[in-house]
Amino acid sequence: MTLAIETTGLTRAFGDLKAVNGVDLAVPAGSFYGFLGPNGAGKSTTIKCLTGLLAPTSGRMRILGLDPLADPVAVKRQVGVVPEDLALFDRLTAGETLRFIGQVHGLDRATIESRSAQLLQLMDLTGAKDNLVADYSHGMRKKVALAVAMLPAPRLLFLDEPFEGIDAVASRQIKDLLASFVRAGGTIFLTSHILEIVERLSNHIGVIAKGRLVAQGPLDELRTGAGGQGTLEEIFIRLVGGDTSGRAELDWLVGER
Amino acid sequence: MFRYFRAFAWLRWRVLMNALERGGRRDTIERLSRATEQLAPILLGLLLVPGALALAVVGLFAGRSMASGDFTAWAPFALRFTLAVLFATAVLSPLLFPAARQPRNLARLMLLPIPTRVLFAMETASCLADPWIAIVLPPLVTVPVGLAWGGRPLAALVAVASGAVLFLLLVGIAFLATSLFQLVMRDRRRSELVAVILVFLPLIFVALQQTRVEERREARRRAAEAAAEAPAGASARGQWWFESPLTSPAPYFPTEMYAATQLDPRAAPRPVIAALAGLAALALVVQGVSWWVYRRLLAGPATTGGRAARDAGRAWTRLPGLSPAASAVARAEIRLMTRAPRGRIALVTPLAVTAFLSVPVFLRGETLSLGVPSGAAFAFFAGAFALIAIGPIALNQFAADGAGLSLQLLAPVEDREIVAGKAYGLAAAALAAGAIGQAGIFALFRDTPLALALVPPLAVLASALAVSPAWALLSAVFPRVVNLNSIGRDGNPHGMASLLGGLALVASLVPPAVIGLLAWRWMERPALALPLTLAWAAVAWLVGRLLLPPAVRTFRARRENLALVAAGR
Repeated sequence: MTLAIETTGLTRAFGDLKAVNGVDLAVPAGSFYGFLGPNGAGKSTTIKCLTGLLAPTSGRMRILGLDPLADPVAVKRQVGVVPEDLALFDRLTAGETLRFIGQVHGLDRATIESRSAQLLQLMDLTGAKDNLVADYSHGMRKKVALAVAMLPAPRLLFLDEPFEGIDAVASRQIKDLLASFVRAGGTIFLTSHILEIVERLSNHIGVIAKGRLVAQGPLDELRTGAGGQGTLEEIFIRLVGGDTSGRAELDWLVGER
Repeated sequence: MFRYFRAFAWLRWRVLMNALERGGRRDTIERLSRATEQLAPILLGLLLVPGALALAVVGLFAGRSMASGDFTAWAPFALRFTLAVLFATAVLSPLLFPAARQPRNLARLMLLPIPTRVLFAMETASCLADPWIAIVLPPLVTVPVGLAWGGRPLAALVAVASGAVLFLLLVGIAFLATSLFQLVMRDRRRSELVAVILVFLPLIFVALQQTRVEERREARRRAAEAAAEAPAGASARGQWWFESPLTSPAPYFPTEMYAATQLDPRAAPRPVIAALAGLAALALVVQGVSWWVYRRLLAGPATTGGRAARDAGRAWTRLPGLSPAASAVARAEIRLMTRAPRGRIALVTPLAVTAFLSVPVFLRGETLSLGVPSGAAFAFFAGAFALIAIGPIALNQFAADGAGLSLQLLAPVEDREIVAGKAYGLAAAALAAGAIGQAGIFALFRDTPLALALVPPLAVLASALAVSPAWALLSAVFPRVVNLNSIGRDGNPHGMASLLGGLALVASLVPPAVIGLLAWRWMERPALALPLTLAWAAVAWLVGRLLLPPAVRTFRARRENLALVAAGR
């Protein structure tokens, strides 16, 4: 099995806190990998390490067979990223943003224009393509970030919460597009809190909690390990130790009025 | 490489144009407000062309004068002075110009398939677009022309080399300053500490300089004597470099090293070689350090410097004269003042400045020649300065709090309560800071008559009553996205708000000042000062009451735009 992403002992510390602690990821090429974890578990830090936004404190990484620390440019040429904070230029329009990204990736003008038009149409941004990104809603900004990630036709996509704030119509179209991308051999590494989406799209799952990878593998195997039944949400809550007993009852809120 | 350069040049140009051209969802007042804010850079841009031409001419004549060994004529002097100022401007640019410290969306740049070294080169080269850097280029080109015109082709060749090195150094140091600023400021706690240090550093520097006034006078006298006794022709041998009044304190300042390379290489080879080598070494060191800082900037994440804020135990207590909702707004404003670096500086600076001015007067036993007792004058100053100091926040009170305004707009709070609460909170913070300063002043100057001692606090309260609604109105009309962690221009309110708000404050401070002088000096009846100030306070209260409804109406009419600006749009 060829791995698109492989890490060994990946660790990132901030002072005494190990946000990512000895994570061994194995993401098969051509898979839709859902990376799950509670808030503050280390998902975004892991993605930042994998995409070169953060240097790992220790551990090894291979992305598409390349060492991103040794040859970051070669990796970045084949990778598209929707980072946590979207990282867009507020004072550019959507069209201008895509043009800049295309130029930097060395695409010719005709390719940039045709791909931009298609992506903007898919994202339903054609009418707003000349507005500044600063004037977009959160969902529209997310769509621009997705378009930016897809424009260079990458082999691997890192998507940090890509569906948060996206309307249902665009969400459906993007999901179909991503599924086609995977069918064509592309790999997607996705984090999301919307477990229904992850369950529907992903064929591989990784679960991180408190910086450690607590489970990884094909979704069916995780189900089998959990007794062969249950939704992803139930499996996830069991894996990360979610326990609702002993919590405040909030009678003042949920009691009769 | 050219592809990257073209893409980055286009990016910088497009961002600049978009900032000037596009208004998006703004209303007319907001567009006008933004347009007036762009006037300064446009004027700067318009002045850049004639400025560059003038400097080119100065460089030409400076080169010609230096060719004949005259380094102290008007043109070489003007050139050296201008280069020194522009160099210092480049170093201080992150503090002086918001554009030089804009976060450069490093995350997006890091995701691009560009080698870090190329990214560094692109980012360094982008400093060429800064006016204070670009304007250096014309004289560096015309100086060699002037030297050649003066019949010194060898010196002209050296000048070409040293000009190129100086320009490389200048660009490198400008980028280093910007990167260093961002590296320091991305940690919130560190940035707060640095902000406070940067505000008080000039005060400490001036205080230290004051202690050395006599020493410096003596040094100047000795330097003048030495210059008078210097043998003729010293300039031609390069001695001017070390003896010039301009350069004597800093012969190794880069622009002076550049000037030293213009000496006749045949008559004075050693200073020329030393200066050129020094300049080149400095440029290399700066580029090396800049590269190291840039790598650090890319390598680490931003940290927030997490820290638990002390809970205000009485946060839910209703403030006198305000509804519970308005009290909550006022308390939020006070917390903003005491927790944001800009707010803290606004509260502490009046105390520091007042102490800095008053303590030496007290220690020397002097009296001010203002016509009123020193204690009363300093107390008035302390209170007035406290009002001036909160201006940067008070004149942008709706946008300064960012998302805090959105929260207040979502809460079941009347517009009047928001306006009144904010005005109350800001005035209370300023009056408290002023009162601490005034208490300190009266502890020092205990001979201040009681009739006059009560006047300054009352006068400042009256000014706050009159000016607060006016400031609220101006804040509603001229909001500006600001960073209260910044001590520079990007923490400042809109220029028009500053101008009009400043005038309003002066107008509110003049009457009580005149009343004090009238009672004490001209009528020689100090007892009159207090009742007259009370009468003025009543007038000021009335003015404030009259201004509050228009301020509330303006705020109501501009809620939508204020929310957009507060959200950083």
